[in-house]
Amino acid sequence: MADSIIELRRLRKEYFNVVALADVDLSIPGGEIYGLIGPNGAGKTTLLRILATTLEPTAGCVLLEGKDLWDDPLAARRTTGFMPDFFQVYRDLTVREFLNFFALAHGLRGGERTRRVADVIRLIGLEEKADALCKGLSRGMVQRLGLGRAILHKPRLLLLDEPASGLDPLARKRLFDVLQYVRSGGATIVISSHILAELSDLCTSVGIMDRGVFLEAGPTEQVIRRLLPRRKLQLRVLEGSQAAAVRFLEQRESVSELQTDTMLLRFDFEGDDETVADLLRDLIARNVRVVLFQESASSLHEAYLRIAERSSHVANQ
Amino acid sequence: MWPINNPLIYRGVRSSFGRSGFWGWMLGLGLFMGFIFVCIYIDASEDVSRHLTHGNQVSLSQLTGYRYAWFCFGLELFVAIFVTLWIMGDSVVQERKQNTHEFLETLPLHPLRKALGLLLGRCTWALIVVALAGAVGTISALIGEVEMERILWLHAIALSGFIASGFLGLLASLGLGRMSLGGLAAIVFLLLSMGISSALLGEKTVILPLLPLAPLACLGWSMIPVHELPPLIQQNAFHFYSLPVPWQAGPVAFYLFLAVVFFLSAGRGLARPDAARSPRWQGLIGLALFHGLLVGFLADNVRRAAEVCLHSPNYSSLESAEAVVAICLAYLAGFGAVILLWMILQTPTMDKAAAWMRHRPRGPRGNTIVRGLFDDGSPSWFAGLLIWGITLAVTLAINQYFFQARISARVLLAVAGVWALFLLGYASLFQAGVLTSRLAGFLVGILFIAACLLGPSLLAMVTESISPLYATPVGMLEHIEDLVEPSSAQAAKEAWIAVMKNAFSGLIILVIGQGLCALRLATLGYGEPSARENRQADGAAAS
Repeated sequence: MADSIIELRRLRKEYFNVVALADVDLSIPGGEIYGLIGPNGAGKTTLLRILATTLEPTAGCVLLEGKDLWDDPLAARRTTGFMPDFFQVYRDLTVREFLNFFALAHGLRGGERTRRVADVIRLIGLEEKADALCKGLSRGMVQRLGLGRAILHKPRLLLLDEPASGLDPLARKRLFDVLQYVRSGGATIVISSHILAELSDLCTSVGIMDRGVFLEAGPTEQVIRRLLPRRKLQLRVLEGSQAAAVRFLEQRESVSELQTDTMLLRFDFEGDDETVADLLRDLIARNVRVVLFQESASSLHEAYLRIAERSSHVANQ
Repeated sequence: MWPINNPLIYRGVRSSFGRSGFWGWMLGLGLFMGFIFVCIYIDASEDVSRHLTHGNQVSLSQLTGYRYAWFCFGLELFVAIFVTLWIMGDSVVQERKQNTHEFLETLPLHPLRKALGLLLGRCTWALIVVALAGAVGTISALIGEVEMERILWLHAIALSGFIASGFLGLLASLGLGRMSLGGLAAIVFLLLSMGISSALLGEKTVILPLLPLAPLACLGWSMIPVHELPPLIQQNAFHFYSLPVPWQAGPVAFYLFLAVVFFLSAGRGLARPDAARSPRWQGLIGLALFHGLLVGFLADNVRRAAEVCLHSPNYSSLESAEAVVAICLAYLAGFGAVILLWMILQTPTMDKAAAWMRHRPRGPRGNTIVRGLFDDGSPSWFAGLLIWGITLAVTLAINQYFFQARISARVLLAVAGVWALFLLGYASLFQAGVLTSRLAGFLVGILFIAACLLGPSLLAMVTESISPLYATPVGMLEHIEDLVEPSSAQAAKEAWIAVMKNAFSGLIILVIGQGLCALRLATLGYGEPSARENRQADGAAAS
């Protein structure tokens, strides 16, 4: 695939007799924010570490922009930014010195390095702490510094392992804002996280992993559709229209699990976007006065639970 | 241009310079070197007066310069080879402990460039000390009329030894994963050096490379009574200056060869950073093996040194047993100093120290030693103290029973007692210091050394005319000999004064340390833990 930034070919990683990745095939197109989802021990961190060249695969290969990652790992490191799950800092350096350290490693020199470090400090919102020692930073600040370090050299591929764990909602929002900014610069981001609601908003594609294999992978919407063919719709009508709406919905085969709460109706619906539009048109044609008609957005979480249950069931059998 | 723009060097320089700790270390080093200079100057002036009474003309500046150069070169080689190896033995291990080894792995640098950066970056302080000691040593040696050619060869040995031991330490840190195993590698490295030097230079020169490497060489030298030595300024004296020039290339070539081998191996190790780490028990076995080798090594070298002393026309007045005892005690004193340095380098953070001190489920003494050996979170200097004691006992026992070097039990007890008192005093001050901050813990270490050196010496200079160097805990060993077989009533009296004074100083340090520690714990609100708290802590540790 010409537009894939990463391509995994029968990638396998074993730790002694434990298989962390079992002959995985995957392709991630450029410019995506790709979410890796899975329970602990699914193989997410192993995959990210292999992509960051800190682990060697047991078998198979990884193509980064069409070239084998392990043919020239130094070149791969120049293209990639990595933030591990337990990010630490050099406690005896200041924030600016810490970033300068990595800027030097990536070949930035003189004025260019100074400017880039200042830009990143501004981007991650640590201007006030720029000349403070890293050992005085809070957890959230360390996470931001870790992100700053990963994006310092403008990588084309950014790998983030649980970047939002332990962050408060405001810090999380800032983190995701920075990620959107990085993506707007053309970078591809691979992110693993347990916070599925946020991944759902952020990620353009997701891969659901368990026991070293991908159970599902693709654009977020398509994955959700495949796993949850029934949409969860909400309808709110004006007083007097409720009975007509209920009557109409009960007659439709594509509608199930109808629940009513005064003027609010919730139901599952099986169909594509066109049939959803048809449903709304028919409701209005029957003089149902619609105030609100929308689809629930928390579906990635349910999709993940559905597939996790299925996987667990298969494993038990 | 590898060294320039190497981020690992940048990090080393940034974290060393401009921090308050750096100037503290430099001040401590300056004071230490100044103190030794004063001691050597006083000794030299006494010797010059003695020679004048015998009608010999000896220049004071020449004698002082010559002796001080010996100290400076000893310090230079000690730091370049031993300290560097210890620092590098901890390099990758420390990164793993701090969970920052990921940085090393993902830096887009060639592995050999990383190895070079780690060496120069982490050993910035060591290099400064080497440069300073080397420069002062060179000036002193020129004043002492040592030929420039010999000085340059010595610097070449130091530099090549620095590179070889640095990369060896890095290799040990990468592959073995523990600082103690870095120490094990050190002794193997030294034994190799000895073997090769012996093969190159002949049987009698086997200890030649050892002498400049001996910890605090000047103190070791001071163990041999000065009045029994011929003027050290003579040619053919017993040390490395007398080595014929072409043969000095041997150790340099050997070290350079090892440097290249270790450099390339370390590069390979850094290219594969996910090497497995050694478990704790392997580290302890390595540590035990290291000390076993050290004991044998010391005992053998002491014997060889005694033999060389006896065969040298300059030492004909020494008896075998005297030489063995003197050199053996000098080594033990040096080893004690190394352990002390190790303790200081192992200073834990305040949280760890407070948590460790509060948790004493099975009584303070037994538990602290056991925890010191096995618990990652506790300061490892208890293990160091214990191992130092065992090594001391075993080394002396080997000398006593296999080499018939009679060392009195009273001497052993006095030496061990005073050293233990000082180390316990240090431990107390250390506890108090580290409860304030990690920097305070370091400063306590420095102040302790200053107190050991300066306290008894100042006391000695004020109260009676004992040479300041001999009044220190190390110098005291010289006088201890007079406890057993006093040459005169005055000598016996001086020996007792020296021992009592050191014991008194140690006791004072201990009392002050304990008092400060108790005060600090009370201020922080820490009391003795209850049985319930201990059970909870045990449960937490188990989970």
